[in-house]
Amino acid sequence: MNASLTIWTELDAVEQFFVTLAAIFFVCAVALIFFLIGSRLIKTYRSKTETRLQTIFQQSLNSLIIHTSTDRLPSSSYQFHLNELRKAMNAYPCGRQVMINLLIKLKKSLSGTSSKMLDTIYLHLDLPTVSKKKLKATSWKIQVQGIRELSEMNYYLPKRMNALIARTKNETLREEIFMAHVRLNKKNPLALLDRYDGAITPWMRINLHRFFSQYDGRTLPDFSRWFEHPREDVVMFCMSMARQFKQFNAVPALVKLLSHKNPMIVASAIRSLSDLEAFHVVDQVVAQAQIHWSNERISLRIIRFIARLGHLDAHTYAIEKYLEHKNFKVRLAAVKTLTSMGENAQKQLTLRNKLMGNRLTLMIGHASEPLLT
Amino acid sequence: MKILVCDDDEALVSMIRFKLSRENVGDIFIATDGKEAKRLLQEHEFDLIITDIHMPYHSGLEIVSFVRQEMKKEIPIIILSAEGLELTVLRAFDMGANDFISKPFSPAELTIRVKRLLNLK
Amino acid sequence: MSVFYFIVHVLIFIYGVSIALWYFFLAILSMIEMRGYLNRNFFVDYNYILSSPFAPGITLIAPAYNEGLTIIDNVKSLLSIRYNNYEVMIVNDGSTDDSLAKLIVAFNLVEVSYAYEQKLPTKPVRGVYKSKNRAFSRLIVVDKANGGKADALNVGLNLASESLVACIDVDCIIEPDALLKMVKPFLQDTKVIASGGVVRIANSCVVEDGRLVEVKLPENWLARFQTLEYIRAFLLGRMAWSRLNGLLLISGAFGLFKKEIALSVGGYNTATVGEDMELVVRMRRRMHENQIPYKVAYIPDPLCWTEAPASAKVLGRQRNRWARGTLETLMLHRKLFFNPRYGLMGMVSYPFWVFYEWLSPIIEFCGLIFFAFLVVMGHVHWVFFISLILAVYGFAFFISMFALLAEETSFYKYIHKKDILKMVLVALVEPFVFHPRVVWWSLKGNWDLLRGKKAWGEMTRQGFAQYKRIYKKEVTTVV
Repeated sequence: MNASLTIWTELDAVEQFFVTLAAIFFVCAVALIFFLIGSRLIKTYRSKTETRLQTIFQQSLNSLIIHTSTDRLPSSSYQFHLNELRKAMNAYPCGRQVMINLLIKLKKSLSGTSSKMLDTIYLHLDLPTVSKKKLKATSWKIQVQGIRELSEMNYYLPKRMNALIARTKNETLREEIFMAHVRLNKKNPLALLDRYDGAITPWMRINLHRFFSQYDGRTLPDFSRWFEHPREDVVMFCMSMARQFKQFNAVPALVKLLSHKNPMIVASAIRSLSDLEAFHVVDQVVAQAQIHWSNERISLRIIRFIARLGHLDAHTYAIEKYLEHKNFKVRLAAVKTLTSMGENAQKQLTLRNKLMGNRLTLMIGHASEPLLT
Repeated sequence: MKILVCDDDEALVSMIRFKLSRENVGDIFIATDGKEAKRLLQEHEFDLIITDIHMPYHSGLEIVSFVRQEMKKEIPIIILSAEGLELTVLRAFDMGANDFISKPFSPAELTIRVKRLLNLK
Repeated sequence: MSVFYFIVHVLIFIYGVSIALWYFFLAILSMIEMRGYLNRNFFVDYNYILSSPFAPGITLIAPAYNEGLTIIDNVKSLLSIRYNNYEVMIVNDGSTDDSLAKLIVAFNLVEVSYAYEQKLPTKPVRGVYKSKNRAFSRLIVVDKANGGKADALNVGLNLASESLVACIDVDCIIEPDALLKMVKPFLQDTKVIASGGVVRIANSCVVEDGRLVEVKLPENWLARFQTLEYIRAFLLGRMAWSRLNGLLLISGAFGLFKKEIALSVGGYNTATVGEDMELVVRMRRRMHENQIPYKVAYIPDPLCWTEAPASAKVLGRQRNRWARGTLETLMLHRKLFFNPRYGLMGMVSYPFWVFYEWLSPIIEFCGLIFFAFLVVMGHVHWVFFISLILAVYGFAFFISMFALLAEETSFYKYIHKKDILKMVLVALVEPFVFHPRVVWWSLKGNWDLLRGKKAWGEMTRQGFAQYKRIYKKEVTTVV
């Protein structure tokens, strides 16, 4: 001790500074090592407890869910299983959360009465209070978790959360509230869209589509309602939903959108019209070829529209014009379409190819390759 | 009757096992990943396979092609998956699956389909 | 003379302190970004992308050069990636082995006529093959004349039919969820033009049928050093740069790009060995020059596993190449240096690369020379020297531990408790054993580039995978 003290006093100020610095770093590093090992131990313990709890819960849950979906479970037996769950749940501090997670997980796989049963169990175990507490947390992640739990289990979301959607800058939180609304508002799931001024990202589109695809088709909202929404991504979203869910009544509104100033919307409208097989508006669609001649996306959509028509009739000219388009993809699509439309069209194509100095030969080869479809 | 259930969701597997054993359709074997599924397939003669598509190591579709192409067996196979895209369903049938149930599903419906494939009442 | 010593000391001191502060800042920022990422994606069910008709199409481009030994397994594992709307394009870069013949037999391939637009100039394509078996309908094999990795990737860009392209090394092990996770930033923000992922070391891991079955810490010490190095670089460095939106490098082993933008800037540069970094820098430059807001995203999930060189010789060659690639990219884009027109990239990222990535081995080396000079002159103040070294060593150790912490709080892939202690030991030894060699290799890389432009052409002609071939042999002899 004395020796080290004498060394220390013999160092000049800079050296003392370095040595102190080194000492601080080493102490911090060692602290980190202990933290690492501690965290590892806690994680192992936690995952063990969780697995154990899950197995316990699972047994009671099985009997609760399976019985109710086939034959009626006597209420005494129901109460018995519920009490079992409660006991197991309260034995551990993390018990309630493990239970909620398990219910949500099962909810993803089960439908019908079994799914409703999960909601009931959530309610009867008094778990909504756990979830609601999370809404008051300062961390947005915990808030999101609470919202997710309440909406997945078909509870309700306190009114004050609605106001949050306009206030929060946090995208994840905003998306979550939006999705919760859609899930919980059974009568008018997209009511929020009317006043919505946030973005509908492709990610939200995927989530919403997923949700609506589990809906009964007759109760789906009429997406054409928002075709004149001021936000263009909302319009794009609604068009894609209308075509995915085959809402044929959207056709007149889609035709109107053909004259929209944003070419992306025009292209999407044409795509929707062709997916909805609105072939009676073919003239309006083909007319867009003139206006948006150089737009790759619109050109491709028009070609596909004619391709789905299945026959050429009066529109040969439109397709043939595209054979000389400056964009490679457009030309290839035109060749593919002509190749797929029977002998007459193929003859025409061969003829055009000759006229164009065999510039299309490679493309014709590509288009007639059965392995490339 | 021996039935193999493959899914990496243990909660779900346990529920399916509970449901099917209550209906007395036979012995239920469980695999929670593709490797285990293949091992069990080689060790036992199964009368029916229920499999998820997404599992660790080998996908459900690989299990289908393993049974049909390599083992050359006509064991009925039910695919139970959240991947309900038309393309995936068609591919599954193309490879030799007998039935496709989209998640979320109803356990009662699953039982009926299992019984039908096993020719039970 | 003493004035000279003083100036050198002060300069070294300033450099050392600034580098330490930077690394500390980046480390903290990385932790924040990592937490944000984990929180944002805590509830995400990636299966939604899998089963959605709205998932964007992806073309996986995997150049292959003399990979005959493993190519069948590699392709099979690429075909089993979890994504619905994708195609796997293997570009055979004029292999001199039986790669192509093996592929044709294994996947029942036939040549097809394939029309494409030659948007990027490349070496000629000799043929395009598709499988007659419906099960492999996603596979497309392109045979071309040898032209190096960048050229092969450009062929892929020319032929790709989807709007996103994933450029990968064919011998990497890609996690099944990789595309789902990589594509998510593109879905969440339409401004994203590229996304990159973490690359991890696969040595000693258990691999079956081209799939990672069990993660293990490498047995080989050289690979172990690299494991720590990769964790530090990917989890601490790049994570922070992505937070700042100043990321300059997406590893060539795995990156996802918007095809139209990659094409419009002219694709990969065939004249550099650092083509992965060069493309990102060029894409970013173009966005700045056209004043389009954009983002380069980064995924901290371990998505791609690669076999690290387990011999000093091969590792040396790899680092030499990296050093040359860095210097070349920096020289090509020297216009960026403190150029406010390029925003954060010009004012921060690029200078950072110059000062701390490129210059640091050189400064370290000069410092060593200076020190040796002092020793010879008998001017060394040993107590001062030792206290300085202690401080630097302490800092290096601390940062390594911080990187392990980042790993622990996120993905903790090395699950055995012993592994922590092993990594601590690695961190303690690394500054003496591994680091000096890394410095030496990158110095040599710089020297090779400056000295011989002639040696350059030969390198390209030998093909990018040459070094892999050799180390694979060495790996097998070691095993």
